[in-house]
Amino acid sequence: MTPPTADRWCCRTVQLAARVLPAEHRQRYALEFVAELYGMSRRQQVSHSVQVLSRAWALRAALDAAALGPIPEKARHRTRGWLLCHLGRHLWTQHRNPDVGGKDAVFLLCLRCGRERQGYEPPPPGSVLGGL
Amino acid sequence: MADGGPRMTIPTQLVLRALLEDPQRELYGVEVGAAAGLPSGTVHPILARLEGLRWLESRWEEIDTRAAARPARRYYRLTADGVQSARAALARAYRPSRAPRFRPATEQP
Repeated sequence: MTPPTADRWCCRTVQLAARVLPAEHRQRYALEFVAELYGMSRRQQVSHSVQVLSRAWALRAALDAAALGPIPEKARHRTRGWLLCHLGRHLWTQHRNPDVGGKDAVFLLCLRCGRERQGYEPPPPGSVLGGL
Repeated sequence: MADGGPRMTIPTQLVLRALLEDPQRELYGVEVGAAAGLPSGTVHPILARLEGLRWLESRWEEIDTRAAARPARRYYRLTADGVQSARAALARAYRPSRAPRFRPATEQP
C-alpha cells in the first residue's frame, strides 16, 4: 500500500541533494524533490531519493551551465579536444617541413593542440600503414 | 547539432522523445523518468539543461495541498520553440557525424 506521506529519511536525503545546488535553486528543488516522493512506495522512495542524491552534482552542473548560457558548438569541440589531448589522445597528422630534407622532414603534429610528437620515425618508403 | 543545443546523449534523446509524444501534456519529474524509461531521480539534470535552453517550461501544480494531502508538484512541458528544436535535434542525432573510416571490401561473385 502506498503511504500517504513521504518517508522522513527520504525527505532528508533529497533535501541534502538540494543543498548541493546553487542557492537560488535550492528551495525550488527541495520542494520539488519532496513532492515527488508522495505517491511512491517506501521502497521506491528510498531508490528515488538515493538516485536524486547521486545526480545532485550533475544537476548543479546543469544549472550552472544554464546560468552561463548556451555553449557554442565550436567551443564545445575545443573543450572536448583539449580534454582528449590532456589525456594523451592527440589527433596526430603527418606534416612535412620543406626546409629539411630526407626522412627528418616528416613530423607529426596534433591538429587540436598543436603539439609536435617527439621521436617519430616515419615508416620506410613503400610500406603501407606501418606494414599492415 | 545547432549551436547552443544540448548534447544529444541517449538519456537526453529518451527524455525528448517522451515529451514529444504529447507536447501539450505536462509531466512531473518522476513521470518524465517513467515515460523515458530512465531511473527516477536521474532526469532532473536533463530537465534543468533543457529548461535553461528554453526548450522546456515548468510551473508549480495548482492544488489545494490540504485536500490533496501532498505538496504541489513541479510540472514540465515543451515550449513551442522547444518542440521544433527537439524534433530537429532528434532528427540530426540519427545522422552519423563522420563517414566510416573503413569499409570492408565486398566479395564479387
